[in-house]
Amino acid sequence: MFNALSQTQIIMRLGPIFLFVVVLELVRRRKLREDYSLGWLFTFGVLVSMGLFPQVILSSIAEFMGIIYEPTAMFVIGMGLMMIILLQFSVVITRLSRENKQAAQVIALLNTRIHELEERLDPQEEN
Amino acid sequence: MVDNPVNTPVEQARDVLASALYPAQRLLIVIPAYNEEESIGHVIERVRHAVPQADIVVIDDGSADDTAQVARSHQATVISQPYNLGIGANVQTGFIYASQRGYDVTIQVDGDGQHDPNEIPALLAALNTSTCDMVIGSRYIEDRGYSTPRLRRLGSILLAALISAITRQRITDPTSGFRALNRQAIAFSAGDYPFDYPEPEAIVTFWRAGLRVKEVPVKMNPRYGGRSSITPIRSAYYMIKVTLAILISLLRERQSKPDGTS
Repeated sequence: MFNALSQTQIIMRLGPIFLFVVVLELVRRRKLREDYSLGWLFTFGVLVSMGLFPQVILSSIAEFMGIIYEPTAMFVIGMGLMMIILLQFSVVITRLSRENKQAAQVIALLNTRIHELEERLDPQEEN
Repeated sequence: MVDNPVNTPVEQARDVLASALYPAQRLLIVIPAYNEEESIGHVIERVRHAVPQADIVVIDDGSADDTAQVARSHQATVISQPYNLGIGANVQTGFIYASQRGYDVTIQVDGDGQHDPNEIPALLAALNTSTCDMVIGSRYIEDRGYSTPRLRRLGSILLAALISAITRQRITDPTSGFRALNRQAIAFSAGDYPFDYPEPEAIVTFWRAGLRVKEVPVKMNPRYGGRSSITPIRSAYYMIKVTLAILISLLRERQSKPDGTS
């Protein structure tokens, strides 16, 4: 197995490594929070190790899953991990929208209260 | 405009008795409104005429038109959302307002003029003379001339059947937003109210929390102005979303009902 790498093998090695580095760079620039980067780092870490050591990890997993073409196993596992991340995002969005709603309600109620208090201070002033 | 159908002497006596029995009751009319500048002034005036003792709060859900200004010019208190929150969150803001200020009863009257303010005393009387925590004004208990498009009527019947089966009581108009809530129901809703399309789901969450619900017949009007936001695709989405929400709410742990004395 020490002959030249096929195109597929090159993509399997370089793709996840590139994305892993992109995630680290986004965290460094504070464009991505550390806690939200963990899922991505884990996903790409798994894919990197599969791409670098296909004989050790990938072939046994592919055999376990009954998949003949090994890169397909990598594809399936990457997709599964990504679905988990997307699901987590939906949970986060749900929490954010609830908190956002509560914040908006408080703002609306406070505005009404301020309006009332202003009118009490200066009843002549219009709106 | 069609006048309120004449109440029977028994109903009139009941209404008089109820208002005499609860003179000190603090009543808040909650009017959710989204782009209703054409109808909101009319609704406020009719509400004031029907229940002069009530305070009126208009909750403007980030309208693009002059809903808030028109409501203020009619001497209603206005709560303006910073952006469009959706009907559930908008109405809930009214319940939070009512619970913060210690109102005994809220009655929700939609800003589009569909709900007839002359029916408010009937809702109030039903709330005060029963052991219920929420009274819903139903278009469909008696035929009072309200016509619904056939497909929407079918959806409404399906939801009514589902909710009736779950709560083991007859619910005929689950999508009606014309509702009176007592202190316990207000306190519960201020803490937990569905996000969008809230009316049918709220019946089930109320029932799960041990709050009692009752329907009374009311007449409803066609819209005065503005446009309904309902399209066939939204209706289908509505049915699926609400059914899912109701079924999942059954899987949640039961919440205890608040004591409403806070």
